[in-house]
Amino acid sequence: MNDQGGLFDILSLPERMVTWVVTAARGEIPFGFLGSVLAVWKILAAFISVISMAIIIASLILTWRHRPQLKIRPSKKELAKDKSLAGEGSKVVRQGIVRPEWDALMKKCAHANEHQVVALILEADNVADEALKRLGIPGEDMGARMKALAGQLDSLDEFWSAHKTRNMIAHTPGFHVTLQDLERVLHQYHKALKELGAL
Amino acid sequence: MLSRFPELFARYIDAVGVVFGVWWLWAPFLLWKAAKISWLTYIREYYKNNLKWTMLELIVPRDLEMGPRAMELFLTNVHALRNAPGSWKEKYVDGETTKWYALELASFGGDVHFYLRVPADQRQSIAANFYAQYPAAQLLEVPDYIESQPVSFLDVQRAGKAVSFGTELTLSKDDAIPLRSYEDFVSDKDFENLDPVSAILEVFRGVEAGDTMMFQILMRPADGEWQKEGEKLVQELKKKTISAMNDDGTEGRTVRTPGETGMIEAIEDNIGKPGFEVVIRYVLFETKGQKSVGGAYAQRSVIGALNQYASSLLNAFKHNTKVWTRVNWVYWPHIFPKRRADARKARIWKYYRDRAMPDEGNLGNLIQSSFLNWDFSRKTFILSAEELATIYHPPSIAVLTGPILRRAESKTHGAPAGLPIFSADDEQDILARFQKPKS
Repeated sequence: MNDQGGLFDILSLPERMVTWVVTAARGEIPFGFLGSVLAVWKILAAFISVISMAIIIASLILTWRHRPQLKIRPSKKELAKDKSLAGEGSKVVRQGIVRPEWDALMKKCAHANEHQVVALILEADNVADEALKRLGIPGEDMGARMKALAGQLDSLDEFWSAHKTRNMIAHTPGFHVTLQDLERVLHQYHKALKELGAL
Repeated sequence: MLSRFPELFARYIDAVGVVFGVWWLWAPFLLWKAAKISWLTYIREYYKNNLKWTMLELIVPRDLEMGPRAMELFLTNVHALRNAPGSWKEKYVDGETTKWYALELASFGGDVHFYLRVPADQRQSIAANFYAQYPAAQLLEVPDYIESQPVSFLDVQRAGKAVSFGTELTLSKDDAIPLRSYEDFVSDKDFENLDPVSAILEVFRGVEAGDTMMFQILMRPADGEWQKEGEKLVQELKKKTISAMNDDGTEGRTVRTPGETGMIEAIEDNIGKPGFEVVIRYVLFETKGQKSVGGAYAQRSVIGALNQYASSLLNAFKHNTKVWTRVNWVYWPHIFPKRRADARKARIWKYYRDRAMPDEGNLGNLIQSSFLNWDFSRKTFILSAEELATIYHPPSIAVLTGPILRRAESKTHGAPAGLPIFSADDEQDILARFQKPKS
């Protein structure tokens, strides 16, 4: 018993129990009534285990045979038969929904001076609203559309900030905007539109 | 330390040896459980493949007055048709599982259709229930539109198309927390009566010519488990509220904000209704090789329209990012983004075609994974009959849709009560009923 080493040293159970358990763990048949019960149980357990493994293997084979064909690239034979399969799978070239409008806006902003800032910010807001409309987001006006985006957009806060700036310009007489404000607002709109996939 | 390595390794092997030595303690139980799961996975697939389905198209009259409430009643009645394996034989030998339904919307370049796919043996009951609620509408038996679509991922390419976008939706909070109900939108006053289904219809109408967008809500009647979870949630929420203490130390009134009270009421309302396990899935096909704007449209518009029923206080829909077809190298596992995106597209189209719903147990998912796309992430969520009716119901007169839907042109009604359709014995007798008695 002592040759088992550290594993059994700490046990302070009666010696007989420990001997019984060690014999069982070694794979031998221990003594006594419990020992015979264990022997019978081992036979039963072996039976159950073998049957279970057979069922597992059979089920796996049967299910594997009917697994779905999810091929994404054609084999050489298929490619030879059908040239239309060439090229990369489901490739679509994403085009920004408001790319032309945004590019036109950027051109104007490149040479902007202080007096044009208000008009440019209003135009940027229009481009953003146009993007929301074309993306099919429902809403009566831009505010409703932006509310519909709640939770969908990481850069929603910046989007709102830019929109609020635009509202302040539109509704507050004498609101002063600088070129720096223009840059900031454009940056915010750009980030949101990029994330929406509109650019 | 390192010099002791062989000795420690030997001890380790000894310990492992002991575990194997007592195999008779753990092996039969573990293996039996695994055997049950594998067998059930196989036999359920067999059962599901042998089910017969009927595809019904829903033709809506132009001036339908019934709103979502009728749909809710219809769904409650459908829930009562739920089947479940009763005996050991039904579960393990037949592989019986609960049958599920598909509520679908398809837009072929802007031409929008409503479809219902039902088990063939329940068709009569379902049609009867539907006509009980919407007598003026029609359910036509039609061939499945999916047969006219390409079958596999490579077939889509052969047909000159591309899968632009596909996704499954999920809820942002617990199942028991409801969406906003249609009750918030309907009103007796004509100009205030809104039907939010109009937004979804507009989204599908806006699909460009040549593109195809297909949307499905798969629903399987659920048992009462989710309601028990909901009750537990309500108990937790009740505990969280602050109770005011009276001066002498006894507990005073509970102080809850109106929002919290509203939430608890909404949840309790919701779990009182029958629930369905739901999978919402949609895909967009575009023409291959052209510049595409549809992907972003599909991604944002549908969920935007459905989230009209959302509120930040209650529940909302969001994309299941483990399943959707937007794959970016920035996110784990960073490799082969295009292949992974294509694998996801292939899988989502296959599941759409099969109207596949995840089963109990995960072994089925293992079979359907490919090397770069392990599929343990699909899951269902529970919507009550009221929530389902809110997001999918025949558009009522409040939706000014014009020519985008194929509408039933004439009003249909049930037959007049006296008509002898069932007991026509003798022609003379029949006519006698409609003649004035001879004076």
